[in-house]
Amino acid sequence: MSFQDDLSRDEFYQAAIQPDFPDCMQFVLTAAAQPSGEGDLTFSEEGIENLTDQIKHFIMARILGTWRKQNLAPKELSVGLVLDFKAPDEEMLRKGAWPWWALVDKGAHPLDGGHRGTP
Amino acid sequence: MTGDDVLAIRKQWEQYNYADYLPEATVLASHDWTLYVRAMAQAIPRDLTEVHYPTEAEVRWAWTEGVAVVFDQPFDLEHLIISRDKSEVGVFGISTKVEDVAPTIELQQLQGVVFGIGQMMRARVAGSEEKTTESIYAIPTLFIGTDPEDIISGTWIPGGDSHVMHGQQLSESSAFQLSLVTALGHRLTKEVPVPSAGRGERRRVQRELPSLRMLSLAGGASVSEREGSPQRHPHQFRWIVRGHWHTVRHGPRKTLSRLQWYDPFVKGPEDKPLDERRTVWRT
Repeated sequence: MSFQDDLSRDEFYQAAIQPDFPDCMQFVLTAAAQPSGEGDLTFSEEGIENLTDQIKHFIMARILGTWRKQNLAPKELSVGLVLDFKAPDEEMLRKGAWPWWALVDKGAHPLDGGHRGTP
Repeated sequence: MTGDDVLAIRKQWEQYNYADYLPEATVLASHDWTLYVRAMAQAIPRDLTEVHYPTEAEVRWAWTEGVAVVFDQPFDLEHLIISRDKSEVGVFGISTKVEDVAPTIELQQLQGVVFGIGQMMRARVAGSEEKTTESIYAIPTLFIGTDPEDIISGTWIPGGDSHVMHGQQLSESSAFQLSLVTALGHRLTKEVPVPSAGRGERRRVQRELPSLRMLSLAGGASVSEREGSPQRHPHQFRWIVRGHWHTVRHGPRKTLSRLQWYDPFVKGPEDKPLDERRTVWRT
């Protein structure tokens, strides 16, 4: 399950505020599907802000959840951060949405028509 | 559109995932030439059950390494869409799964068409997701919209037949593709230098895209050598017979048929003046 894909912000908060909610959470940011000026793929500023916002909500919810569980205000918080970058294989990236194969019927006759990439 | 405009369009295309397939050879299709090709396409009967594509030799195909055709003035073209990517992948995504869709006619504002290199292409049986091992010799084609993310891919199967799906007509884009491959090699097509604003632009084009030429219509028409049949009333003029498609019977006992394009030619008594009333293209 993921925040904003499967859960709304309120649902996420409701779940994260529970004392038994895990302390470890992975947030994933994927680059916007538009070429930048240089033609390279990059993360958008809005996406990064959204990601840090999600992390902030998660930390806030964990503080409240822990407070409720222990019935004492926590006085120290440490956050470990591991960044992991992934890039698709360039060849696969290049050979994306262009299915270069003919569509045939059961008798293997090529069919008239085209393939349109996802709009 | 000048040489710099074509360079800009190519640079834009090179940012997309089809960049590796863009051939070096590029031609700018002038407005008149494009109208002529579209008029050829309009002349093709659409209520066909199958369409026979010419071989590379039949259309004097000179682009073995592929060619990118950029249209001086984009125009709307109807496509018959029969498959799509299975899920949202975006232009930089990886599309390995496709799905067939009920054939739908969709418009595209067309900026260019890219013909790839003729190759054995794997085929996919309608209704399946995976490519089969069967292969077909084909030239991949890519219709690129004015929005370069809008791409529609198809194939030209030289010497092969495409079957029009039941209840459908031959799509406008297929008729246009057929006309385009025919027109690229026919003798009324003339390659001329691309318009440029000045020497700087010419040098830039020469450096970055030396093969770039513009396609335009050659002036005048060829003269028919054939003797006309005896006329009851002798003609007072020679006239231009517009280019047209013929169904040519061929094969064993002439059981096969294919569409063949006939270039415009001049008909009538050679000693009579040419009737030069202008042909008005319907667009």
